[in-house]
Amino acid sequence: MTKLIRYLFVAGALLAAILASLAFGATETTFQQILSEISQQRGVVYQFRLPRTLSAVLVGFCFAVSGTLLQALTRNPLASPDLLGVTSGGGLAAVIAILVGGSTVGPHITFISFCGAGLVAAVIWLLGHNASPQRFILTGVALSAFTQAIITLLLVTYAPSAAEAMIWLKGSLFGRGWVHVKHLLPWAVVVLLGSLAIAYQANPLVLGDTISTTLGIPLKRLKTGLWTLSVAAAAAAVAVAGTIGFVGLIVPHVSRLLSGSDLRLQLPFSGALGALFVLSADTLGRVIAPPLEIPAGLICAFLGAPYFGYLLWKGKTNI
Amino acid sequence: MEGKNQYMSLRAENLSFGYNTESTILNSLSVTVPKGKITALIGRNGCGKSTLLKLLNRLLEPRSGSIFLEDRPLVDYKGKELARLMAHLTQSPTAPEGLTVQELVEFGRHPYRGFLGRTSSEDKEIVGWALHETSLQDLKDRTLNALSGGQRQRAWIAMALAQTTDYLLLDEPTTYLDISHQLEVLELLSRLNKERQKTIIMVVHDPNHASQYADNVVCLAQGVVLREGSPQDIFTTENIQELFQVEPLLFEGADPQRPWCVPCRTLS
Repeated sequence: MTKLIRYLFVAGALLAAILASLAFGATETTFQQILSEISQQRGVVYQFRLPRTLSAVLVGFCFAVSGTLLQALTRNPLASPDLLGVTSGGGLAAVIAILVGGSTVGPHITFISFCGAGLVAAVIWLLGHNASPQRFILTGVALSAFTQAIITLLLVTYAPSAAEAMIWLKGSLFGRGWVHVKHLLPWAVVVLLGSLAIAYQANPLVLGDTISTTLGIPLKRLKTGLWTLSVAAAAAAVAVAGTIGFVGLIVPHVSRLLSGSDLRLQLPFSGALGALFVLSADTLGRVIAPPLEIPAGLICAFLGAPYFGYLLWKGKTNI
Repeated sequence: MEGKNQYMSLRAENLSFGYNTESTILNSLSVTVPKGKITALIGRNGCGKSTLLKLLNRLLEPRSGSIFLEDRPLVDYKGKELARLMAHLTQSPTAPEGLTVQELVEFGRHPYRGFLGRTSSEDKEIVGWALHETSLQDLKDRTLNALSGGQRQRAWIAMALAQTTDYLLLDEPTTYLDISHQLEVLELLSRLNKERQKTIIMVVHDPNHASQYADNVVCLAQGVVLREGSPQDIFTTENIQELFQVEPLLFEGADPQRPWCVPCRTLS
């Protein structure tokens, strides 16, 4: 019963955050105006705020679900798409594309960073999937450090023209439009349905590979499925919003505390909470100091890093 | 009839296994586990008892040789199908923080549930029965890390029971338990064997657990079966000396077919 209340609370908060995101901005909009602009499919709300809001929701959802799947796969509460290098793989590909393509962030960046994330993910899988979860994670960490080093090298080398890439890397939803929603939505739907379909099968993984096998779990197939879905989600999100960190790490953790470790409940809860987190960060970044915008990625890091420290300090997390 | 029954069980033929190319743990081992009986695997550390148990449940792949379960090659079984026939309590299993006893035992029903995992009333009944058999009803909402080692061990046994399998493989089921709980577990296994005809294969270190509770004792040494037989056949001074390199004191208790064994000193 308390779980139902928590669900309703997160759903209500998400709805409120969506309305706030649509209402706040350079010009404030009333509720009636929002409704009429959306129904007539024109105006600031429909053209700019709605797609940006939806992008934030989908990005948050994808990062959080990706982290939840990764934490189930590795049995490690610290696993996340950023830690494992999937996010920075997308970042590296995008930085190269921005520098080569003459400092313009266009729809092609979405495609390129998606490929970059997928490529790094494939390398991690090839190197680490037969090893223990710990070695799998360390493979990702090493690859993540490597790609980040290349990113830094590129940014330093091409310093004057790297401003655009820098902003992209911070993770922002500035100027995200319907094209981005169209890119994200199918991925989000596929990942949600796919992960719910294997959620129950993946539950015994918390008991370890051996016991999962004695319970008849097809371990190889299941792990490949978890990895593919989590990478697809993270790649789709990083392709649209850049490297927003901490969402994939913290949100799954909080939702495990609130919804329990049954993935059938934890996955949707985590997705909703991730959407709420990124959307709130984006809205906050828009209204704190207008006309200046603080990128959502920065706000997420500001909120996420202390929580992460708190977790480690409390010693509730087994590394 | 008896012979056919034995044949229709779990048997390994010329099984060899090593964790890498240099080591050989099992060396062309053949063994038949009689159906409906309690079989104890005994032997010194590193003789391959746990490895054999894992091979019998397909947790490891043999280097060569084959295993048949009910006359069908073990490799032909589907994962869930095997999980409904055989439960396996491994050595020192670990559970995540925050998992309750009830949640752990419910995992035992996993092989019986559909794709999305709806719980049937039968599942609930069986989980309740498994908790009852291991006297854990009062602790079912506790988290595993809040339990003593013995209670935790019983929770894992309850999970294996909830799998309601014909075959039950246990790797040192009495570790961490005080003597009273040790006997409780062994009596429970004995009862499951008599009342529900479960075939039980257990690795034990205490020779008396083998002599008092097993029908069939398999002695492993250097990756092969050194000797196999009833407790009365196995528990002789020469056998125990050869197997464990210790001087035993053997004496007869209430049941002459089940000698007691006190290890006195090492032979060296």
